[in-house]
Amino acid sequence: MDRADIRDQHAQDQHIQHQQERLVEIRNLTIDFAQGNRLIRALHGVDLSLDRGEAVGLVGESGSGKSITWLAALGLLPGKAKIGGSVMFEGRQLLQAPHKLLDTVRGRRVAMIFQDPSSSLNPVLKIGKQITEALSLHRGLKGAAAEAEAKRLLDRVGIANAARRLSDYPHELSGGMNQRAMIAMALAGEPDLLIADEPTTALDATVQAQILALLQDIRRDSHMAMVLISHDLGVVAENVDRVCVMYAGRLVEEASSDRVFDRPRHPYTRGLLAALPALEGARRRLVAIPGTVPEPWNLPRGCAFAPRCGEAEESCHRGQPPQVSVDRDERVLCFHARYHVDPVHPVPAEPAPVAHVAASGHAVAVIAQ
Amino acid sequence: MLSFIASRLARAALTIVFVVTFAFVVLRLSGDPAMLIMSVDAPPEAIVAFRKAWGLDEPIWQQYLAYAAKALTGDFGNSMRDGRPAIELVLERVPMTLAITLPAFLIKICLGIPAGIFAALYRNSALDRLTMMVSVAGFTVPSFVLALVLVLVFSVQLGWLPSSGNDHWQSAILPIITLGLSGAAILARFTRSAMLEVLGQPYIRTASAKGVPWHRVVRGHALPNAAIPTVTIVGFMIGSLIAGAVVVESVFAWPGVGRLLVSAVSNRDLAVVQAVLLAIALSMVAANLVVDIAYGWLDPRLRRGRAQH
Repeated sequence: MDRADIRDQHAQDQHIQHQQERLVEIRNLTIDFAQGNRLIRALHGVDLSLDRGEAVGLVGESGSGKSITWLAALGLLPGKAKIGGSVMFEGRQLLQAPHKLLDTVRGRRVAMIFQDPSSSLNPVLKIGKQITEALSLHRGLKGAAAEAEAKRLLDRVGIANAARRLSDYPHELSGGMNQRAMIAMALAGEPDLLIADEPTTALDATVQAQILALLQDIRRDSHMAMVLISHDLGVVAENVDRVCVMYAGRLVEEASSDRVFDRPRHPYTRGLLAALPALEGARRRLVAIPGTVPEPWNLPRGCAFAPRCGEAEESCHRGQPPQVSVDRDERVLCFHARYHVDPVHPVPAEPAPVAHVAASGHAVAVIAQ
Repeated sequence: MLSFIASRLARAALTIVFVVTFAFVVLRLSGDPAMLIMSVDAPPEAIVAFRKAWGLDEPIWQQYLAYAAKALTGDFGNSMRDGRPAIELVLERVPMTLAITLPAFLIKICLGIPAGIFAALYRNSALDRLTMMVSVAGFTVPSFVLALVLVLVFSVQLGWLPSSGNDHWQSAILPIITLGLSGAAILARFTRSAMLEVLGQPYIRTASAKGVPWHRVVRGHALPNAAIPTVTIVGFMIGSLIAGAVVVESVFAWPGVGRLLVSAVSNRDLAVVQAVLLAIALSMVAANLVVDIAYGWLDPRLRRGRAQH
């Protein structure tokens, strides 16, 4: 066997292994919102898959479709949304699935935490009640046993005085505390996947770092997969293995998180990176991406990013760019994807460990900002 | 908590004093009871004597002080028509009014609240549209029109029910339906919008996301929150159990508090009007207290907030 054969064999093994480890497989997911008589497409065919125990980041400005991708996958969008494509969870179709199946997946297999913890918790129910509700649904715990487990979960997420907090209402806790309580509630079902939808956006910077550290800690313990949705590329890249960048309802770049940081290929990803402050190295002016995300009902004809893109050429305004698979696990949606491959630093065959990114200046900068 | 109750009671007392004072002054400024009670062609000496007998010749503030002093001892004056204590006249009418307003209140609650909830849960469905159409009709059509339509159908055309009076228990049915339907329409609309507001809240999505079946999300998460704004309008309905049937009582010639008010006003029977207004004010104030207590019970944010005062 020569080297090429070995590499092929390796790739094939990995493929088979992926099949077994695959947790979620989203294919060609589309979302249309009925508005008056017409349908507005908010998501234009997203492909996204997730393995057991893997952490994936979803990045993009608001309105890019990060959250609705997962809300749609779990059947949490309002009825006026028409959803197409396929969402397989461990080989079972979740789209248009009966409520019975969804109720056993939600909370039990896939848990979700949200952006604004204080309004995401029910204001008239005690924290303890909201956690024990999940415990009784998913683990059949009742009464004192549920109470004890709820207390343990609050301890686990770092809430001091857990026993007393159980009888508090959400408005009696701070935003950070509420997010910890949300995480405790999410852990109640011992899920295989946690979807964290902008979990730290509403919190101040020090609390943000604590919550992210807590999520990492929990993942180390439980081998739980995680989708981290954020508009902050820095937050995401530091906490996940793989990054998906979304723009205007499309996935425009997908790659390992260190590769995204070192060599972003899509002009939009580069724009997001340029907007991040760096703690180390020479001071530089932060560059904002000009303009705003186009409204879903007012998309440009060609590439949706072209009007804001510094590198757009005439062809970019004429048609949709093709999806280019740069490498096995890397995709870019850009006419100039090949063009942007850095010839000096060829793409590494194996993704570097995440720790590398965590140690980089960008990541530190984000924590400290 | 004690200081909260004390402040609420003080405010309630102030409201009642204000209503009584306002009614006293306005009634005395807006017409002369002597002319109405004695009839226009009575001899002038008789009218002067009447005014003197009822103290109407004194300055208003003196009349008011005398009234207030007596009121504090529980004497609210006598009817100028038959000389009986005004408060007695009112109290004997209260059960008659409650006989139609209480069943009507039950109809409002049992019909209006579920209709509003289901309309919100099946928003934009045929059920929702129908409910809202009936509801809009229910509170845009004045109650006397609805009353007349019901009389036309059930008394005149079908001959099933008496059109007015209180000779049979059946006489109460049409007034009850009239009051109940229009109240249910208002309540349905309020409940629907409260429910829609709550269903759009992030914590409802959270409950679904954690795997709570939808019917339990509605019962355990949405309803307790939607109850808070709904209580306001229900409280108002409790407050109008005594006074809310003026028009309907008049249309159906039902001898309740409302009809007493109408006839007392047109006769300028001052003490009776004042006694009725006092009863109305008391029931409204009591209903408001009930609403406040219910808020505290339903909404923990208010409960703890109060404890700090």
